[in-house]
Amino acid sequence: MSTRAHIALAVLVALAIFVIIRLVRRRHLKAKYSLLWLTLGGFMVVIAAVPGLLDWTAARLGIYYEPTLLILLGLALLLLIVMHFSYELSRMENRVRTLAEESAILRHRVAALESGGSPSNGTDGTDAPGTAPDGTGAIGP
Amino acid sequence: MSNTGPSLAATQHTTDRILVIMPAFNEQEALPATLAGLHATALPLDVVVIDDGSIDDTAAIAAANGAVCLQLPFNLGIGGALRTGFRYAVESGYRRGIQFDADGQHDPEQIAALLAPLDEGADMVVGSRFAGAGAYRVGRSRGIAMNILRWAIRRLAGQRFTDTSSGFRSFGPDVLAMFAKEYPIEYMDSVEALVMACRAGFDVREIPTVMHERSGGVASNRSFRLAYHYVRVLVSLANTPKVRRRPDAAGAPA
Repeated sequence: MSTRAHIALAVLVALAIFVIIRLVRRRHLKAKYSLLWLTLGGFMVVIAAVPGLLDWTAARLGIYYEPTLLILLGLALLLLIVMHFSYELSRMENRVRTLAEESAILRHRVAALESGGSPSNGTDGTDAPGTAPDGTGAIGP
Repeated sequence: MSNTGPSLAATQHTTDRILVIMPAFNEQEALPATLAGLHATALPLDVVVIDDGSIDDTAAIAAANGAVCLQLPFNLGIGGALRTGFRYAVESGYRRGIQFDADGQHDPEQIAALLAPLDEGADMVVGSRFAGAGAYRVGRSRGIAMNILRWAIRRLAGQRFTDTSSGFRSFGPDVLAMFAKEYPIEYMDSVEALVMACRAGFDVREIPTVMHERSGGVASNRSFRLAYHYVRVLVSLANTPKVRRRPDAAGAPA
């Protein structure tokens, strides 16, 4: 790559790292996610700092047009990051669902307690007096 | 059952009774008749209606008609609503559950028949629309789709079912415990749940039942959406792990 391209790259990388660190310091970004991006940044720093590195590696790998290597590596890393997000998202959705289910059950139990009944369906006589027959769900004999 | 026993609120009341688990999304029109129908049976039934983020008066109407109502804060889909019901059943100490539609397509008179195999050792019973009784008809493309699924399920479950998507089912305590922890969440959950139960080693049976045509509303099956879920279900079925979750016969409660 040309010297000008390298300077542009270095500026971009410096800017990106600055933004990431700022976001983490302000707690807008969880540290575990920042690590991902900082790794990507560190990677780019190396490429920007050692001008011959990319060309040399590309030549070793038999890549004739050197910038392709940069794009290839970038894509690979982005793919990993996106996969990581899918994983996190699935986990989060599971947790939200479980919380929603839990909240529905607890809401019922709280309402039953507040109305002076038993939080269970119990109507077997050991529960607090005044358990209303309605609100227990019992409809059979 | 020792590790998955009821955690709270188990009473004599709940262990002897049967919990009807009824997911409901905007079912205020159908609910009173459906609940009245359950009322009319001679069985010791309790009903829990899971209001899956309805925007109508489903919750109030369920409570007014003698059901426990669990209100989800937002729409989870039928799988999430069912799992809420299973969890409620286990936490409250019920040992038998019935999955029952709110829209009135299931017949309360057939619950007794659905429960009978549980007494003979079955863990889960599916009420089939196609196993002989009744004259429930589906469209042609839907029929073909169901045939493909039926084939895939026969391979995976090692057992033949005539109606894999029926939502009229009964469950024993061990299946309730499994589904309280883990239940398929997306559309066509019933198919996945059936395979899950079979692959976990449970005794799953099928009995013929008669079902009513849907009284109101249109079944929400647009073809693209159906096709997507089709592929998704086939993929996830293929990935259902074969894990023995059924307790040993010696340790299983009668």
